[in-house]
Amino acid sequence: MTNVVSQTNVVSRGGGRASVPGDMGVSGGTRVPTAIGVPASARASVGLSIPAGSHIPGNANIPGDSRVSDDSNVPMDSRAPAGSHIPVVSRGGGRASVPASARVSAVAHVPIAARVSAAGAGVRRIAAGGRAYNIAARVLKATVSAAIGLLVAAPILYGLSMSLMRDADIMAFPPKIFPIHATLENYFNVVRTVPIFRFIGNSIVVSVSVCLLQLLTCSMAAYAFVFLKFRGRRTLFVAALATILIPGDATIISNFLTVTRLGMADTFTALIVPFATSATGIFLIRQFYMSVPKELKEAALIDGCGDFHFFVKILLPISAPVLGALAVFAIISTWNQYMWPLLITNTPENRTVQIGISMLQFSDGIVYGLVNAGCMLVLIPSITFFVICRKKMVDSLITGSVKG
Amino acid sequence: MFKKTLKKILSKKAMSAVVSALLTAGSFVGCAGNSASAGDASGAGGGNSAPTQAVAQTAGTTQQNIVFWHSMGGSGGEAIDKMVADFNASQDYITVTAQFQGEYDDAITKLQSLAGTGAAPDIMQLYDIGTRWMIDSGNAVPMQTLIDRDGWDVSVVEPNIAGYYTVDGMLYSMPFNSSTPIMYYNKDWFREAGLDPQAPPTNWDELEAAASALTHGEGGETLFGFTMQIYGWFFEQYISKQSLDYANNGNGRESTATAVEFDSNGGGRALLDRWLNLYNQGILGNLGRDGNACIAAFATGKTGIIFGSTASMATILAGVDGAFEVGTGFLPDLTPGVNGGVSIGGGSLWMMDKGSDESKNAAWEFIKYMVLPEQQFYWHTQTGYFPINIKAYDIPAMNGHLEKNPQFRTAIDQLHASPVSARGALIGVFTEARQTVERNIEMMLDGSQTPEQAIAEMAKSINAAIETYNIANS
Repeated sequence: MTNVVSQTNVVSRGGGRASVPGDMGVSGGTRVPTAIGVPASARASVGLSIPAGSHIPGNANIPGDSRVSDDSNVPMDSRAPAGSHIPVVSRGGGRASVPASARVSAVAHVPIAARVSAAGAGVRRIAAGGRAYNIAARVLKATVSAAIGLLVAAPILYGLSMSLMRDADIMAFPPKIFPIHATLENYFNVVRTVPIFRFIGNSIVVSVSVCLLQLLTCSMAAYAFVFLKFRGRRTLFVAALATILIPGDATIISNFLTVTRLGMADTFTALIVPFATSATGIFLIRQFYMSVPKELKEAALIDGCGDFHFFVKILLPISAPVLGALAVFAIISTWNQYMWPLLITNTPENRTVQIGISMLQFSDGIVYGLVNAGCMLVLIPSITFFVICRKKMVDSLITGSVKG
Repeated sequence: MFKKTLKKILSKKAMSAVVSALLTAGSFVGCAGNSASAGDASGAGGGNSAPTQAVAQTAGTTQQNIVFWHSMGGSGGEAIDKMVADFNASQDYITVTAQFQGEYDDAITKLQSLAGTGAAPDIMQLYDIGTRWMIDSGNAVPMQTLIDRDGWDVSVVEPNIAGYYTVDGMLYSMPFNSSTPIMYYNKDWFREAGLDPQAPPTNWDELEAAASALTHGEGGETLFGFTMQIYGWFFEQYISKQSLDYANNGNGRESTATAVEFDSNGGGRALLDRWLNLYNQGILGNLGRDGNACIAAFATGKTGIIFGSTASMATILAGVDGAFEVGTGFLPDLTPGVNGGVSIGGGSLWMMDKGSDESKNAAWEFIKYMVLPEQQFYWHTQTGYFPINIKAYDIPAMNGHLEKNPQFRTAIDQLHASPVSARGALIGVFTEARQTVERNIEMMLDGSQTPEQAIAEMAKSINAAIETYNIANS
């Protein structure tokens, strides 16, 4: 019953009728600190129990035939207590969401969350006028998205175009955007010059192995730092964290000597093991674990869970977003490594894609077509990976951004 | 809640299935891709059975595995792989494995950390300007010792090229990929401007006149008659062209260089004054340090004259693609009548000291093979580097090749016209020195310092680097 600035994003997609998960207290990562009741004078009654800044992912089911502009971000100033601010977003022709001036007609059926009820009549009036605006907005949105998307993808698309050109066309002036004499010659030359598919396969094996190892070691280390009590815990954590400050370039030679003396030079082991854990990863996961209420573990212990069970059965599943973020980070950074694989491997059988690309360059000549063709081949797995994991990646990025 | 967890696990399983499918696909494709190199691999496998404690004195009796590091990507790397495969097939007691180690600087880093261990290579390709460093590092065996022991006729090596790698009367490394700078010009532009396309400028007075005549506007854009890349190598060449030394103590060849000399002998000033003068007249274009940008500008008809490496010729001709006639000429003399010649750039093969005489002999056999006339002819046609073996010119196919690529004749003539004394300086910090030179020329062109200040800055900075290097290596 206090004046809390509470901001709730209710997102409804495709007119779906779904409800905000009941366990949002856990997945949102915060306990509900306040319940905001709205004075009766408001024609909306908001039974709101959402903490400041928390997210309600997914879908508010807002019944009523309220057609409002797509994606409109409508603050429902339902005369809620000072500053309580509930933007309602609807997508895909959603029949939902409500303008404030309409005195909030929709009943946001959000179980523990907001419950907004108001008179429904006003909404229809507003909605009818909004339809034309709705379509225009959607077209505008699509155009802008396409333009931005094209801009972002432009270097890759131009690379693709160059990979299909002869060198003379690449150098031509004015520059050619599209290949006029399209040819696959560059691709054949890449395959002939270097064992590129072998390199791609190697890079996949190495990146995925590094990723899995990091997930394992970082999540377990973070568990110890957060949930286990032992002497020197803080010191150990700070020591681990301090390694982030040492640039990789500074240790590359000593790592190289160590690995060579261990007899691991020119093996996959040498490409994987030095990266089996990462202080950044430990830090990332630790920060997430810190937001998990201690009560969760206590409850689990009372129910007979040991540390291991709690870790595997309860903690890891709710950590999926942060683990996803780490996985993406690990795979991409390993995929892009150049200096370490170059130093530690000698034979083509153990080399990775980035070296393959540099093998295509000839110091005294321009081979843009060849190099671009190589890059396109190397991009295939990365893009496939992105397409498969797109949703997870975006989710995990959002998680990362909120948790910090 | 449990359902949800189950779902998550299921989707994870789906994910891992996808990942493992990808992995499998990758390794399958990998196998397919690998079949190309299967020949080399099985060859290396066969060599592994060689007893390491062989007592044999000559390479002829025991199996030897030789590791050869190189920095040639693209067509150079392909040519090396072919030559190595041919060598391995030509006899059955030495197996050479060629390993690409990135750019020269990357390879040096790797060598520095490996030197003295068994993992070091037997043979290493290194750039010209690493010569002093490699000698000082003590990791290399002078090639001369093997030449002498074998009684190999060193006179087949192009004397101007051998001169560069000869230090204290010994050929330290075997020249392998050598190039010189030449002038490329657009003959069509020369005709249009009323210049004789058969008579390219031979000195900077003529160059200035030509550049002035060739510079013209097109669609509101100035097309420069001459574009000069900011490149430390060109700076060094023009010290040599003036018959002057870059560094003291005879360019560091009589004894270790302790300071640069291009400041006190006026060589650096003469070039920079001229450079800035043409630039200020608006007839010399500046595209920065990127050689490829200059090549692209020339090939697309945006500038009439450039300087470039002979090894870039294939790229230039491919880029021009018959759009105009490409002419080549000697690097014009800075001072009319004074031609100290050009010195070579590129790289050479070094023999690393790994202790065993057998492996040295085996490595020597391979090096001898790589500089055979036929191999050098092949190398030249694939990469555009000079054949370092003068006997390569006796091969009938070489004449046909030169007739088909008359532009290359210029490069060879220029090399032969250069005295053996034109062989560049030896200092241990050349990589850094080049960057210093280039940075200061940039600052001069953008007006933030005069040529005099630029030369003083260069000398100060390079001398400090030489001093530090000499202290560390004495």
